[in-house]
Formats: sequence, structure tokens, C-alpha cells
Amino acid sequence: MEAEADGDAELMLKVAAGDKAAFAALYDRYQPSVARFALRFVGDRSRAEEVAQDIFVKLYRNAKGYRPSAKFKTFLFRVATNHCLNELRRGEYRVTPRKEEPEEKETSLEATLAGGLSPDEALAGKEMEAAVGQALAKMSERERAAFTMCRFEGMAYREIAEALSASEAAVKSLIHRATLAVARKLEELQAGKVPA
Amino acid sequence: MGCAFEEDLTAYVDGELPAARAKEVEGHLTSCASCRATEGLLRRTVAQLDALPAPAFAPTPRLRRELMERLEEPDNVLVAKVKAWLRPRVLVPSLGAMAAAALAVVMVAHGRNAPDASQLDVASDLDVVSNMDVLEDYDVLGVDNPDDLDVVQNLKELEVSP
Repeated sequence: MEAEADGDAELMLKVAAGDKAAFAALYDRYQPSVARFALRFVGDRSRAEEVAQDIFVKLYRNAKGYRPSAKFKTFLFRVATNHCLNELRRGEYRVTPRKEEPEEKETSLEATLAGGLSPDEALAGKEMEAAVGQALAKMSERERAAFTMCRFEGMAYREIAEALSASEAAVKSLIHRATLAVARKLEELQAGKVPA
Repeated sequence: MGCAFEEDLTAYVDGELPAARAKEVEGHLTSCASCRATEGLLRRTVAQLDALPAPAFAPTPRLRRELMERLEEPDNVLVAKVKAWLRPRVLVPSLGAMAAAALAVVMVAHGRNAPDASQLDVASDLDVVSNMDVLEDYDVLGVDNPDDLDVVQNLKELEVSP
């Protein structure tokens, strides 16, 4: 893999040398991504934030294992995936379809107004999010991880394969099954079969 | 479905197929209505997911401070590993097993009949209690030959060796 051009790899090398300011910079940049990823596994915002904290602690403690030949984001999501999957197996976390919390409702409203979405469009977005959550809850852990990295983090199949320690062919299959499952669920929603 | 190309359709939509395979899929789509329908469904889904607002999270000062504080704490995973490594290699009998063993010894001491409360004298009960350590090692482990007894007697030495 080519060396990463941006500064994340450099920051991570500083973290490995014990630089906490560099770690704080990476945390500020990636905390939202990691929390969103965790949310797809635990289905609860505050729990997702806790899981994200655990993942960053793990990242810090494993910083010496980072090699700049691997893209930082791939390394981060490898730590995140391993953490979420291991903790799920231990029964630590439970996957539940997402419920919107009051704080999130306010944020959604602000985003709706700022984005110029009509109330109908905002409602459709919420229903869609709920349907995606239902489809995700029925997937295998690896399908969910691959789908989330692909669809919500914009990662390439090759990067996802590295994060999951899987072949690209396996990732292609995971993402296909997961996307098709979500597609079918959204079809049901549009046909009025999915409770919002 | 069941078409050989179906598995490649999402990767095709995502632009993740090698150029040669993408060409093959493209050619196939002109002749397979089922795959064309699936491809359309996948494209619509990907577009809808792209338009979905991302759940909002932010690294608040409180979260950042809590995280930084945790970095100062000892590594609990490492501590747990060291504790596991130092744990005695022989299982300690549970309280229930110890009680069962004690009862078994009392029964043997008083013959094979079921114990009668009147037959259990205080002295033998005290004997059992005062020799509980020995019972744990011998009876609960089912040790009865001299070689095994020798091993059990030297358990303490075995436990401390890595």
C-alpha cells in the first residue's frame, strides 16, 4: 500500500512516540466517524459515544503497532471493527434498531432548516433511517461492518478488506448482500410495508 | 435471480470492479432484464443512502477531557492478563464441592449408611473442618495413589512456576 499523503499517518507516528496533542488532533478529526460506526452496532447514541471512547483508548494503547504503510483510517477502523465485533461476541453490546433521542431531534431540526428540507422530506429521511436500522440489525456483524464502512464512511473495498482482515472478494460479497438487504427494506418502506 | 453476474452488480455500481469485468457486466446488462432491474434498484438505494443525513456526533470538550484522563490510567487489559497469568494453575474447589467432600468423609467415617444426626459427634465434625485444606487437595481432586499425592503435596511449587 502506498504511504499516506495526508498528515494522519504523521500524527499517528507522533502518538506512538507518546505525543498526546497529536492524539487529541486525531480524536477531534475522527471521533464522529468512529461514533457513527459504533452506533450501527449498539443502536444507542450515548452508548455509541462510550464505545467510541473505548476504541480511542485502544487506538492509543496500540499506537506502536501502527505502520505508516497502512492508511491511518484503515488502521483506525480495524481497531474499531475488532473492538465492536469482540465486544458483541462477549455480549457487552446489543444491536437494536436506532431510536432518535431528544438531542438528536433538535440537531435534525436544525439540519432540516439549514438544509432547506421540507417537513415531509425530513420525515421521509427519518423513516428511511429507521428502515436502514432494521435491515442492519438483521445482518451478520461482518456485513454490517463492511456496509457501514462502505456506505457511510466512503471507504474503498480494498481498505475495508484490510480493516476486516478479509479478501476483497469476500468484502465484495458482504457489501453486495448488505446493500441488497437494505434495498429490499427500502422497497418495502416505499410500498408502505415497513412501520416507521 | 440466480444469475452468475448478480453477485458483481453492487461492485459494478460502486465502480469497484476491474475494467475487464466491468465491461463484461455492462454487456450482460443489455441482455438480462433481471440483472438490469437489480442494478437499477442498487443505484437508487446507493443514491438514497448518500442523501441520508449522517447522525451528528462531535468530540465535545467533556468527552475529550474524559478520554485524556483515561489515557493516564493503567491498561486494564494488561492488568487482567497479568492477573490471569499469576492465577494458580489448579482449580480451587467451589464451596459446594468442598461441602460435598466434607459430607463424603463424614459418611465414610460413620459407615456406608445414610448419616444419622445423632451419630455425628462434635469431635469428628471438628476434625473435618480442621482438615478442610487437606480435603480440598485430596478428596475433591480424586487423588488416591502415592504418586498423585506427592504431586498434590508439591502443588505450591508447581503453581509459582511460569
